[in-house]
Amino acid sequence: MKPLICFYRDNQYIYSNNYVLHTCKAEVQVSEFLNSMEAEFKNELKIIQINFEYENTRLFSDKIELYPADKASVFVLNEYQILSQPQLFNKIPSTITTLIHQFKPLEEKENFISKIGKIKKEISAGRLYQVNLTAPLVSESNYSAEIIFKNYFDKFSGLYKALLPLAHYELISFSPELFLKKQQNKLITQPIKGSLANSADFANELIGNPKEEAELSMIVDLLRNDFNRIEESNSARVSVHRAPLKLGYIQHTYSEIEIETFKNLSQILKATLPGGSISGCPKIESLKVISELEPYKRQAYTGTLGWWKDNNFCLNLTIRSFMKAQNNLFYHAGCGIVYDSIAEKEWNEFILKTGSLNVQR
Amino acid sequence: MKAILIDHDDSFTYNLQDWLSPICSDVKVVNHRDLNSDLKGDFSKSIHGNLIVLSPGPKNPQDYPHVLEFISNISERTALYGVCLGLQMMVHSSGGKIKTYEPPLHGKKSKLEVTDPHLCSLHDSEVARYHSLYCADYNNELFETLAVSQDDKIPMWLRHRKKKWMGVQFHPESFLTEKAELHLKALKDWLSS
Repeated sequence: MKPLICFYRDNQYIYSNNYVLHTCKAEVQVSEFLNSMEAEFKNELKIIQINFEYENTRLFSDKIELYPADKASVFVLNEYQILSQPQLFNKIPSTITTLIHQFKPLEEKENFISKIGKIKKEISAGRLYQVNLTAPLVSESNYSAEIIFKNYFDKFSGLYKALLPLAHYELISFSPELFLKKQQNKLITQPIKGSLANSADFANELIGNPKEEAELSMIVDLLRNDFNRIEESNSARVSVHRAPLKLGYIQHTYSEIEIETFKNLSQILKATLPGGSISGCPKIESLKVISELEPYKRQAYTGTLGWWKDNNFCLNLTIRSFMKAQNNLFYHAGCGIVYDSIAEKEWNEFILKTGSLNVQR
Repeated sequence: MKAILIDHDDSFTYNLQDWLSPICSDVKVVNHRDLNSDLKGDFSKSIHGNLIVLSPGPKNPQDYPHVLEFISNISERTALYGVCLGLQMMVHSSGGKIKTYEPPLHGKKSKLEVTDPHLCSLHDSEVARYHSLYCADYNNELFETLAVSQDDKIPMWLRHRKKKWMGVQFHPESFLTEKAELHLKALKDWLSS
């Protein structure tokens, strides 16, 4: 079986090549599917993946699919090991040191910029406060998913890395963003907003920037809302606000929101998916605007993936990720658009989020 | 006290519910679309003595004709509290004008300039703003202005002089708003006055 890798804790990884893959049928609700998985495999370690579209499939039904994909998948692991990074790398033999890819955005710069203008008009008219606009890139690739995972591992220094051999494609994630983590009854989320080139001055250009502050604050209020919706008798708290997250190729700010809850995974996802930081605010209207402006389904990109066992789980927001379907390697990037956004800068941020991939401009 | 919170597909509604919970034993969230069916007619009488809250939300008061009709039919003694879009609905339904505001303010803070002496403990405190529209014009004989923003002098807090209506342009439920508990006390004092 193809190996499966998923972040675990303290820089350790779950590694398995003995598992059973269950997929959610198109006509079944993701919640029902997850509840049935929980009933049958509660105590097993499971790796799950859910697409951005989640249960809003009708809203995005006429969008172009980049590759065939199930709306949700669960791997039930029969056997697994917990490995450190060197142990993990020993499992992936590779002599290749540099991957040769040329990524081409599937959206012209001019087009992306004109969409930013449309969003700003909608913001002025009161329809939206912020929306996350994204676009895919594609490169031909003849490397295996394992080789891509190993070679890009250090390029993207996110904590929530994974390699999932899904039914129709392979998902290679280098996400730096924690979507949901639940241990016992404590649930947390860590939304990321605000981006800056690695070379730039963090304190002045990110912390001192009112646009970046507003962008993150808005998403913090939105995620407080989603958490308060899970558990009406408890209050969501902001435990961290505007802390630095420095990756090798980019710098961000993040916040942390927490709440006490005894709800199960499907109930928690129902109140929180799609994630606030990658949809927009207000969320319902933002999803409509995304469906009006983005011609492609996002599928795995900006969905969620991670591990799940009993009532504990840890899920990333699937950004900075590659989808390998046949010889096509897809990557997506996006930007939070607010009224103060400068179109040219947002396009540069879009490119910045491709790390040092070879992007044709 | 029980409250009905009318949700305009907003992403802050449950923060408002959470903020209200210390003074309301039960806050029922009702989506604005459901006002059409079960909650009209006798509903407005049955909730007498309780509170109706209009949530913030996207778009313009005119995009919610059924909510405007609903609030025009409720009893004058029913307490109605509006946040952001909710306040704009009250002003619009009373013949006031709602206009776009440049530049829109989303996730930003302003200090309050309080004009009502009962609210002086909130003078100079920071409040969160999420709005592209504002109450540009309203009849001062109908609405009393309790506070404006210090920086741009935009109406932030209005109270109806005849009906039991009060509304805020800022977001008392936001984590950016200082002294959330004093804002809640102000609401409680008004409800019992």
